Amino acid sequence: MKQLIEILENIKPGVDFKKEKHLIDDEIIDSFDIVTIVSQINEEFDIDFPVTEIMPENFNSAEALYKVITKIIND
Amino acid sequence: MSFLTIKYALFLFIAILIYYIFPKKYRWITLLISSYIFYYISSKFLTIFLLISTITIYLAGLFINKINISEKQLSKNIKPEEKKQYKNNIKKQKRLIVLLTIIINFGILGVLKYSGFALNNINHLLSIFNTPPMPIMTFVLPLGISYYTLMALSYVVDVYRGKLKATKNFGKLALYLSFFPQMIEGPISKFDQTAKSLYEGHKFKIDNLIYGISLIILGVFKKLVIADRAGIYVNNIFKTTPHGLPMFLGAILYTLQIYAEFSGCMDIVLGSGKMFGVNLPENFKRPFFSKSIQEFWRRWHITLGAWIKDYIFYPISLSKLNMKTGSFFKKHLPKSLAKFLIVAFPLLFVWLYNGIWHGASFKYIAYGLYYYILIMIGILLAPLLLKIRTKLKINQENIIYKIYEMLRTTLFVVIGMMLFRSHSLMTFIKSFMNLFKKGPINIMDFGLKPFDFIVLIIYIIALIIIGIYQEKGIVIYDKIKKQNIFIKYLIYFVAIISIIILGIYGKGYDTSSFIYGQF
Amino acid sequence: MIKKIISFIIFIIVTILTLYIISPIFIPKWTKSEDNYITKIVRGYYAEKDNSLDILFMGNSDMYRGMMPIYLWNEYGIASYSYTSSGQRMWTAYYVLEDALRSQNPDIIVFNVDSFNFVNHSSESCYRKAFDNMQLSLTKLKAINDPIYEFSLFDKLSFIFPVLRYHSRISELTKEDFKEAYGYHTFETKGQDMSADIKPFEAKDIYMENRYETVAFPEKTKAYVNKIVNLCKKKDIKLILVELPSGDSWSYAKNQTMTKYAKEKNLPFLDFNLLLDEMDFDWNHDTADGGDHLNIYGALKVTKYMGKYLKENYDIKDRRKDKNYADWFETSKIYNKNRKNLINGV
Repeated sequence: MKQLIEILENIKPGVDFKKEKHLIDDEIIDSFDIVTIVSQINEEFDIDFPVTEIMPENFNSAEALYKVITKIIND
Repeated sequence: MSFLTIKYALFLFIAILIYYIFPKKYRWITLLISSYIFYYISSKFLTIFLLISTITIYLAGLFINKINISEKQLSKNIKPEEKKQYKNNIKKQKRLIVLLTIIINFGILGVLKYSGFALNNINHLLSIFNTPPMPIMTFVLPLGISYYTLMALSYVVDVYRGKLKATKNFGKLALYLSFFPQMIEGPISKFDQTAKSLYEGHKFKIDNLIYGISLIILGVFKKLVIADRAGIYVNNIFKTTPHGLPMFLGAILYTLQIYAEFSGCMDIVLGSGKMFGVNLPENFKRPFFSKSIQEFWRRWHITLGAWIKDYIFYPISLSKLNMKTGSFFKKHLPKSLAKFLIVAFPLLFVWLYNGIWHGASFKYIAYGLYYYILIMIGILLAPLLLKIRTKLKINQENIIYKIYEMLRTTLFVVIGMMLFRSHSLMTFIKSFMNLFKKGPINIMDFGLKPFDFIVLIIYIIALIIIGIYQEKGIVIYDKIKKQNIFIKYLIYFVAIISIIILGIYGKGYDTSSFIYGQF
Repeated sequence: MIKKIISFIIFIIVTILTLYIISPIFIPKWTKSEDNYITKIVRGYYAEKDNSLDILFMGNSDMYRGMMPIYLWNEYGIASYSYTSSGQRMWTAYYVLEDALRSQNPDIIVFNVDSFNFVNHSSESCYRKAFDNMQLSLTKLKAINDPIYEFSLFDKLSFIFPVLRYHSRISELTKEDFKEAYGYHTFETKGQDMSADIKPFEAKDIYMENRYETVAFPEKTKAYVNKIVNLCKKKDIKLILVELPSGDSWSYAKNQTMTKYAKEKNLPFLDFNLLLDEMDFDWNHDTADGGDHLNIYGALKVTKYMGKYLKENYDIKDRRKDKNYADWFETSKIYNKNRKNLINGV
């Protein structure tokens, strides 16, 4: 989880990813950011983030994103 | 069938009547029948294409379903070493089905809409080699094919992705694809957005009727009073491509025209849907309040942008090829440049597709590329602009700065619209060059009187004021609903009288042609 | 619930009424010579006191140029009016007659038959000039619904609510549009369109000479002329068919057809084109536009003959001693002044 927060802060500095719960709804991160984030996640967690998981719910908060990453690793 | 005819009003009235007369569980059938009658009236035997699309996605969905079910049953018996291979096989099978469906559906659309353009260009090439040209057939397009094809493919891909479970109910799927208000200009809805609402019968609520009629009146007003009025000037100015200010005004008025017409049409569409208790997705969200081009395309023709994002942008940007290339760039290039490159590739496809979706010509391709270049420049310049802003101590949240961003975005959009409206890319370039020359022309020479300009200016001011309230989250319709009955009727009265007096319809009155002429 | 239904119905009624009430503002005011004063002719007719007119002149533009009702008043005390439309076809003539008889019951109607064989439509402007100032009545509704006009549903609605046709004039409305929208004022010419122009008719010696041609009386138009004849008979009105001097639309052939018809219907038919010498008529001087229409000089000559004819053959009422017609003297004074100014080019 800490690793994930680091990634996020690297890509989008100035946002409090520990607290924010409406990253997508409030348009704090956009589709370009998502692609950049996923690219970094793929590298660091050694996964292939599938298109099927690109959903607003999964990116609205760091926790939600971490849950998805875990799910992908376990599959 | 055009929305602005007595024919459509009558059709809508009868469709609504029949809908609510039937018992709830059969209401979706009346919708399906109404939709196909509407479609047949508009497209006659071309209805077969709509049916073909529906059948292909229905079967594709069922096949994928079957594969999923058999996978669940069989996967227990698969040894762990073979699991990955097995899963890949399953994926390949499903992919094949989706690919086939895409080829059939895009194939139909491609031949009907784009073969003329493609063959034309091939023939130009052939003529260079002195080869005789290939015969070109022009086709009448089935109504809404650009819209329902996208909707059909979104269904199949969503089933493939596991977002949806394929439906066994052919009628339900057919209704999703053919709901008549969406057939003329969209919106492009996803299966999980509208299918359920279309299928379940809705209880009669007078509020839905009133809301629907209100939206329709608003749409008619935007089209007849604003769009068609601006259109008079636009049509005249784009015939002659003059210099300077009048040309620029033409581009602005065209932007206004297409906004009023398209969003007005959407009002009629959503209003029609609402009268059946169905909520169709919005296509416009105060687009001229956008602070960037990316934001503009999230507020203008929203459902097209969403479709392209979900079915072109993400699949390409998250593909192995793009991800591997991205990683490579990240290792060897500065951060911002790497970000730029990781989206540059998928975005090219996004904007090429956006362009060509609008029409089969180089002009439209150029239109898409225009926004591509703007966005790419924006991404490249972002860190530099941030530095400048910090140096000048300009706060991004400052209202003046926000207004600047909105005006800047609107300016880019106006130029884009000028290209969109020009006869060809060449004519646009000529017109654009002419913008900076001065000409002896008067803006009153293009069919509009000062009175007309005042009407348009009042509308723009109203748009800004109402937009500001809506940006703050205030829903205008709810505010009106709370007023007393006299004020409510007064608003409708003013709207209807305005449409009748200010609307551009019928013949104009020309004194000279009425002077005693022939017997 | 009832309250909601009632308020909705009231809303509908108010909206429709508003459209009806504001429409006259948008109708163009055809009050100048280039529009042949049509608005004044029609609205001036409605301004006449009910049942005060003894003779009506009806027909097309030949009639409103060629007859001079004020002469008949000055000379014989005859209370008459020219209630006409430009480019009038026989079907319009019938409905204009029906409309005329809503407020008047004349003893005599003099009807110009010039367009008896025209089967095509008048121009849109002629149809609108005939109907837009016509009061809304059962007659008007019957007329616009008559399939012979081939009016679309939108057209028909626009005859009841002219704002639908003329709404684009919102950007050019003038004070006159508001002032002349409502109310009826006497037209001092009693329906005459005065022109002092002189343009000689070139073919004056040959236009009535062709003795070989024949002209049929089309069934389409005859049906409506029959209706005119029958309506006059029913109302006990003496109908006189006439053809005012017309260089470009009359011929000997047409004369023969109309003479035959008049004989069948036992009606008098006065063809002024064959009475030119008796009237001392001069095609070089008495036409305003080269033979199409008469000017005030020609109109005077025609009216003089008409007056004598009426006096000799009919029982005419002299209204000059009648207190109810006192205003005709004032009107005639205004007319005479205007006529003098017109002749002097003022």
